[in-house]
Amino acid sequence: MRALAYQGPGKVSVVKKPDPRLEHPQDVILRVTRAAICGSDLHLLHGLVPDTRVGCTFGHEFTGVVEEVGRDVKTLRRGDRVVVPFNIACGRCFFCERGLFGNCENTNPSSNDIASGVFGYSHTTGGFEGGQAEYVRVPFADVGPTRIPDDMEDEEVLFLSDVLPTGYQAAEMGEIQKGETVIVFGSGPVGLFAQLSAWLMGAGRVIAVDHVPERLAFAREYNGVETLDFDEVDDPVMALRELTGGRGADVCIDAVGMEAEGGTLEAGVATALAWCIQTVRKGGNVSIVGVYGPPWNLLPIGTAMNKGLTLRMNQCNVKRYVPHLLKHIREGRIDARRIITHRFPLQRAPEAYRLFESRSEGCIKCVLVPDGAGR
Amino acid sequence: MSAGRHDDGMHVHLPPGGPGRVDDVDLTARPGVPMEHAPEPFPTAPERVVVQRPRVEVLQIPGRKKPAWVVSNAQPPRGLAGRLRRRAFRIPEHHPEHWALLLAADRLEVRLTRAKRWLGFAGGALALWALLHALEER
Repeated sequence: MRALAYQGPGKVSVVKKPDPRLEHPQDVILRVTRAAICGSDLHLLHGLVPDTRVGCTFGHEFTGVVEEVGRDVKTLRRGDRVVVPFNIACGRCFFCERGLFGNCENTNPSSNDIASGVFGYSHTTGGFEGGQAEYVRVPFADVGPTRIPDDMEDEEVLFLSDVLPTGYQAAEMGEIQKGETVIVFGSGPVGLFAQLSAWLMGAGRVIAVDHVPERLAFAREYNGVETLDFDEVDDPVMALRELTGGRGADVCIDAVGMEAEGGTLEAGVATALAWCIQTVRKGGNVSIVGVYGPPWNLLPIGTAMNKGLTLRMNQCNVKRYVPHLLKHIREGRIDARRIITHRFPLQRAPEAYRLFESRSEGCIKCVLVPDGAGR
Repeated sequence: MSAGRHDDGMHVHLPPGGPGRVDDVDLTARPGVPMEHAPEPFPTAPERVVVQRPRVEVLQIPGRKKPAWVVSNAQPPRGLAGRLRRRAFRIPEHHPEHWALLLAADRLEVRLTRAKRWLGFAGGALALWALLHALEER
């Protein structure tokens, strides 16, 4: 099959690889129909995630058609169309039984602390091959994948794999109450869905912060939010305080992560997170879904303590949100597909990465379409 | 598309954002609240799980009490970078040395892979030159 392969910082190519095979009785093999490039894939591309091995295939947001079924799989059949959460979860461990699918302890031999197994996200999360390929192996197929309703297109539900539930969980962790003011740092796909989710949860004001004018324009048009371009002000924290009556926002969301101002060995300076802590009101909530890499950060934790903040964070427990968000999509409250600005055949994946990385041409989200992917 | 409203033939999408869209305002009814709920088996989780036997070397972090139930067979540790990675996996992950060694292994692997490719190309070019030279000599 053809698949994307990492070649070192800043370089990916499309290569021929052996087709994946069933390795476990609860596996299925999918023929990939759509695979999105996630902002967090850029952390991999830039070599910021440790144990990213040459040749690995990225991609943790994908839909596909079931081609092969392991002997113990009960809920899927050949030909089923499915959307797959980025986290690989067993459904039975201490954490899965408590709804913490992103913390499953049976799918990632490489770490006790980082996360569950994740598709296409380095050996730090288990080394599982990702979906930016023609085929992909999906372990624990009775737990993760969700069948796509017959009347829905793959692209309508593609983002149930990660960015939509992650944005929703970000807002949910903020414990937004009716009428509250929410600042969302980062206006990429996760930030956009966090803004939208904040409205759904009753926010009175939503302010998007970024420095890419096209992204802020998209946020204004897609979500009807106020925006702040932090390149346009001397001091973003003072500007946001001014915007929020001097007291600060009730809830701040970090949808940026490590590459706010990152260097290879620093895990990035946690600029967005520092701004969250500095612009939230006393007693407010900070919600973190931005991805951070190795454990070196300079964080104003003393400020957080003195302000009595609640910091909430986690990898998204995708499976918990799929039914609820699917309903929102079906009933027209969320048009997730609209954030797709560019589609590329899989063969042109390196070009798609370059575009997505540059954030030029109004690029919000790139989707890869393997040959013969169908609808 | 005007005012965020369009009909794609499948579903009519409403304007997605803006104040007043309060479908999930009840905090307790949100799907991830509480984040950690009382333990209950996931309805379709397998009743019996076979532990996958890896086909390649899989590095395991110190402190794990049992093997992972599923693993990846992709890109096993190899060569010098592999040796560094094995060393990293002898150090628990709360020590920065674990991560520093892994990042060093990543950079080393990239350089070695590129050097190998370059040597392969240079070797091929040299062999072709030698062949052409030998033919000319005849």
